[in-house]
Amino acid sequence: MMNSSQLFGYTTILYLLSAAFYIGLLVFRNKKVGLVGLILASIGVLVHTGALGLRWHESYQIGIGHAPLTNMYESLVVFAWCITLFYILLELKFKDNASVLGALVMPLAVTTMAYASFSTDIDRQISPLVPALQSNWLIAHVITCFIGYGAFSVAAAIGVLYLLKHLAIKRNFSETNMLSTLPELSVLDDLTHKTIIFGFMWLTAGIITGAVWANEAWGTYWSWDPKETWSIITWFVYALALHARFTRGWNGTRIAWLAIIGFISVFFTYFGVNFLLAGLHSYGAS
Amino acid sequence: MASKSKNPIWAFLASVKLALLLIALLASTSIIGTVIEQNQTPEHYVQHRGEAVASVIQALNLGDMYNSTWFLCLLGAFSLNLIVCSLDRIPTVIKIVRKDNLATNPDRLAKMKLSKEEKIPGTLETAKKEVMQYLHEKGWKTDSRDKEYGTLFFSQKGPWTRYGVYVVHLSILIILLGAVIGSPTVATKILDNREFAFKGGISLPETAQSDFIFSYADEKKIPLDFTVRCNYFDIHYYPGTSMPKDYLSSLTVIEDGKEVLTTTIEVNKPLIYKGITFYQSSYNQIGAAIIKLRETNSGNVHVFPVDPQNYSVTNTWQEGETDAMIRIQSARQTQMPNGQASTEMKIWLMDSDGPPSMFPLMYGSPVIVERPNAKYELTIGPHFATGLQVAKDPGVWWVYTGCALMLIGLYMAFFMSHRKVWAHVYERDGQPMVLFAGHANKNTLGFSKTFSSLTQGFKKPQNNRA
Repeated sequence: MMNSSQLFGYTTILYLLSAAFYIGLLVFRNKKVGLVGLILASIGVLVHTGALGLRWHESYQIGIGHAPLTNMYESLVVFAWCITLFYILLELKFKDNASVLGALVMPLAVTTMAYASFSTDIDRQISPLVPALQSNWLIAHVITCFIGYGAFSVAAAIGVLYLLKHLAIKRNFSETNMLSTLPELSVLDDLTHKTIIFGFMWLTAGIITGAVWANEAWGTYWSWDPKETWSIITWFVYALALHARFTRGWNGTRIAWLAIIGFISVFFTYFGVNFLLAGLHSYGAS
Repeated sequence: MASKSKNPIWAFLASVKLALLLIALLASTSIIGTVIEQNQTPEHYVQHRGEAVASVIQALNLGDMYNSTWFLCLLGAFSLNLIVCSLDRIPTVIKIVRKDNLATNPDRLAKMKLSKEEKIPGTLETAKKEVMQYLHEKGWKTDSRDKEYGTLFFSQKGPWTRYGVYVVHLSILIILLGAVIGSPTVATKILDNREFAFKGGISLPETAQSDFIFSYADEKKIPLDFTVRCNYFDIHYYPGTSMPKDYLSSLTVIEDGKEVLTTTIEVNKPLIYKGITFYQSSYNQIGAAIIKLRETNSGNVHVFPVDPQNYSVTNTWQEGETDAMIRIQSARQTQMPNGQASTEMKIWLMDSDGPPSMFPLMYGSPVIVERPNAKYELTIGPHFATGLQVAKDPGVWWVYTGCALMLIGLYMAFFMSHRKVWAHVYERDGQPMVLFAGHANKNTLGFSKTFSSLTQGFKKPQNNRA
């Protein structure tokens, strides 16, 4: 009988292969190679979805049924699921303009899965849910936040590629350089911007669902605990990026940098707070 | 508005530069409070951070920085900037929304990025009808005005979406207003009415009641205009483990001596009564023992505290029509198989339906007692006090409304656009012509697809006719 950890293992392998093909697309500039990457990533996401469903089912079998969203291992796995799914949808929408991005996004998904599966800091057991987490808001809160995180990760990846390509153009690298496979700078810029908008919408929804839940569980919708504070810092960073673009016409390298700074803030909200600071969200740490 | 924009203070407060600066300041200063532990004693900071840093923390109130004057001023400046900058820009937006698009000179339409000209067979009058009907079919309701060489038709969708960004700004102000309305500090210091908004708590022993709570801010009593009683407190565990699955308290609200309502609260499932919310937040043991009887059919729970010095007291209750009573006959210390000390009691239980039941009971392990008309689950366990967090926040609905508005506003601002379509039907050298033009303020790529399918769709049936 297949169990969820095996399925997560297959998922990681599929993502790894997909990442390899996307990097192949970057190097060989053959669209068919990229298509294989997309197909592998899509199968990976399906297996991944099945694995999440199975883990959910397994938790009921051992009598502590809850959605697989309650500890660091599960959140990492869901994070990888979100970035991959978001990326696949992005590529389906923007076609070839987005396909090379897989060379950066898929390795991120693989790293996340591998870290979740192999790190000794992370407990992979399905554990019972503390009373505070037993709420219908759990799924809404975690999913909205993680869609936001996923989009911001992709935005930062595009930002990095933008900066690399920008540098390559500035230094007059030859036409055969593999960065020339990347879409035009203006296309990358537009994609970064659109992805940030999408992520911003979901981050806002994530903060709001969290506030409503906190009010229901603790009687305070906002208590400036480090996770809340970092989420609002992240929100401010992206609000800044959007205003700078809409009203001051910022684009190009500046937006690329803001996408990266925003991601650092996301990263700190997600990991830094759990590992470096204490607070109400401490159950996410193990 | 022109005079306002000349006022340098107004211009400064309305500027995007100030907005960007304030957002950056809010983001960066907020970090401080996540690095410095909040709400500790001055000694704590001296001990953990050293004298020098502790004095800075003290001076800037960094130990409670999100309530410090300077941080609140920053939030105030942010709100002011939001208000002024929105007021400054909204008149322009209203002008754009209300703009008379039929006044557009047809010559300008041809120069727009999206435009397309077609010949139309027939007369000018039939052409006008045809164009209007076609646009109508496609969901573009038109207004029209006669021009020098023909008629201009105009239709638009979503002009109001231009307000999206201001809806977001307004939503932030509403959320902040809600925070002010619900702030215990504002209620105490400005409204001088502590009962208007508060956060506090009370530790209620099982079977005890209270008509006041203690404020968290100053530990003073805040009266409730009703009484709340804790009937019992319970911890549920995951089967076979010592991991708590749930904490629950049965509460009864008593008003004018009458029991108004009885309910069980859990973590994530508070009781809200008269705008005051009671949350399950903690518990502690306050006495050696308490008897709990649960009638399994009715679910009624009867609770009797036990005084270890004088345990042999007869307690009575009513279950339905039946009077019942229970007494601890004797108690002796024993050892459990695992070596732990425990108490074994002999219990006498009787009701008006039959002869008394006598049975042994171990501290902490339940027994089932069957009576002719009742079945009790009986335990003797520690006497708990439930820790309730009690809050009254009249601003919370403002905050929720603001949150909902924010999502609506963001959707309007980012995912909806103001789309315009013009059609000028006119005659050139006796040939009826139509000039389509279109414009969208956002998602121009998406709209250009809509526009080309609109214009091509008009051409096709004509070709069929031709």
